Amino acid sequence: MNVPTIPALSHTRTLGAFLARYGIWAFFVLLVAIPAATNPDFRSVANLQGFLTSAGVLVTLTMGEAFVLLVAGVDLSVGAAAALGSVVVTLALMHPLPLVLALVLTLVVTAACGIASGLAVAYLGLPSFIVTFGMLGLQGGAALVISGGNRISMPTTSSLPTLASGVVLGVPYQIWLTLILLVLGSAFLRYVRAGRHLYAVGSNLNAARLSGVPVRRILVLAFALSGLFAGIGGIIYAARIVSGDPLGQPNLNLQAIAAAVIGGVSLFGGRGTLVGAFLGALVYALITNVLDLYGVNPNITELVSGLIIIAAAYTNVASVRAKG
Amino acid sequence: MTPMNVQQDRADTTVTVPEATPAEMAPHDVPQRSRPSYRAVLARYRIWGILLLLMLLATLASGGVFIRPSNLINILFIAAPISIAALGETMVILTAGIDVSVASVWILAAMVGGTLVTAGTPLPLAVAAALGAGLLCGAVNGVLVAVVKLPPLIATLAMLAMAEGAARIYTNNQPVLSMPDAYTALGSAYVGPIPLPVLIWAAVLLALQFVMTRTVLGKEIYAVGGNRETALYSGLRVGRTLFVVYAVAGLLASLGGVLQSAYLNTAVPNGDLNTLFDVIAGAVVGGTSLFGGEGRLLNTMGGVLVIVVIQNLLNILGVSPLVEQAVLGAVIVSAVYLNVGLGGARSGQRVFHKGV
Repeated sequence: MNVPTIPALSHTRTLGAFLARYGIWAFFVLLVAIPAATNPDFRSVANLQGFLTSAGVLVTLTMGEAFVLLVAGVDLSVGAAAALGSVVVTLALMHPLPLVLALVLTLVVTAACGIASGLAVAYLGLPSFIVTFGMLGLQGGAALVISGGNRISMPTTSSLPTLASGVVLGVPYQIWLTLILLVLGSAFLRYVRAGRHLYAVGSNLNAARLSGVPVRRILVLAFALSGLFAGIGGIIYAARIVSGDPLGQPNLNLQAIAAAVIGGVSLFGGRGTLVGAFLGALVYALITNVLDLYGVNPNITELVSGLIIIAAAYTNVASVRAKG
Repeated sequence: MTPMNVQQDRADTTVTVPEATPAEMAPHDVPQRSRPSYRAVLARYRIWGILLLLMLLATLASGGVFIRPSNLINILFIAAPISIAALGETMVILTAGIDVSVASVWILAAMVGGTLVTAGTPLPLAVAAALGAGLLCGAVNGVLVAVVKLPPLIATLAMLAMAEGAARIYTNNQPVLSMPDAYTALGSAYVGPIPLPVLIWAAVLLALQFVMTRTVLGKEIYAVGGNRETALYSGLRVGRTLFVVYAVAGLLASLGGVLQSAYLNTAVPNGDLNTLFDVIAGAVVGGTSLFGGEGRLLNTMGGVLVIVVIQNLLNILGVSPLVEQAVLGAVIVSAVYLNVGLGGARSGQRVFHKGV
């Protein structure tokens, strides 16, 4: 070759793209294989089931977050939406509404919050960061007000907790649920026109607009999906703790973003998959689980997760740069 | 006119000036900065009008309780630490960045300072260690944003987790409950009639105001946020500017943490998002544009006071603290809407804030 830079460049390009696409798989496999080989406690069915049960909420929220990240937005309110969802479903069951109605009501409430965020972003031109920041306050406040500020217990007769405790083929119901969401969501992104449009809007908003993509509606759709998934996450959360918790887990808002980035979803929009988000959330949860099993001071977990966020974001950014 | 001058002009007239459309300007004075009309000045300091109205409303609604000197002083004590951290956040947002780690750094500093001083370390040393921890966190943020070039949201998100983890490891997850008087004095003493934290707040504000309006660094901060590429091509030290801004934000967050823990006489390692909420809300309600390049330190002070006054009023009225969060959420969104809507040449052009 006369020009040596070209193969070098294309090599970088391939490596960056390769890392972005498959790095998360390698990471996931290592995080499972190493403890599985060295620690019998990790291999135990009880631990794996416990781990999966604890990961369901984060996995669901991260997939929802991915829709918003794909359109180059950010949703800071998914954790608060999940907390609100857990309170709404518990109150509805206490009322008592039939289970199906309670579930539908919850999803309508959280999806409506998502739509409200989306409308403010798409039609008022406000930055998604600040809209969802305000929505975080609104949803958190609403959850506190309607629950009276305390955790509320679910009626003992309710069958919802089996969502968390029930197991089919050794896998908890809630994980089956997240897998179904993963398949449906991925199919939506791949085969449905609106799903493809999410990528188009995130990659280049103006180009998408000029190509006739209904940009504003697609933006609202992304936030609506995020709200919907957060509602499902809230239902899983309520099922797991058998109550509605207005405070939720405060860090969940940001963990969902971090997990999505670990899974290779770009913060700049237009890049990423739900499978990546799913794995990213599992990796995030696995880190806690594995460090815990090895008897590491649980306070160190956060420190480590911070380092992993940086590493993942670096891979993410490097691959974008490699592609130019 | 060199590009550099364009940048400086741009930096000087950063606030929304809807009146100064080219059509209204004299035909030949385009390169000169036109004197802002009095309506433009009003728009620029709108937040202070809102604050005054709000205080009037609060006085009426609380039957005079709000305006009592003891209550006003109380508001200042609460506002001082938040304002100091919000000054750093404003500088970061002016560069089109964001720092979500302020609350964690704030907590880390409080834990370091509180633990050391309770264990008998001399006061200046303990405070220096706390501020040093904050400066270090900020510097790491700065390296991640300026050198590694991570998106600010993600870099500071990682710092949020790490600083909180560090605070817990350092204290083994135990709160610091009763601190020596010399330390608590930092947050609760008076110098003459003026609370000490308010004096510190004023000193920080004056120093930063000088930096922002009278130094090259200040112009660079506006330029980097106004148009990153132009700043780069104009030879501005973009990386250095970003690094300094994040480092200063970390330092100021830790100062806020020290003052607040001294005022409350407690430091708890578990963070909540409330501090972060108040700090970012203060900057944004004060009119700082999340797109960068637009905003004023003084107006952030107005924004923080608006937030604190609303909280105070809801308290006095006996409104459940549960409602408070919802009210503040609504206030933030509407404040941003007003800022974008009234001054918003940019709304609609950039629906999204890429990278934040």
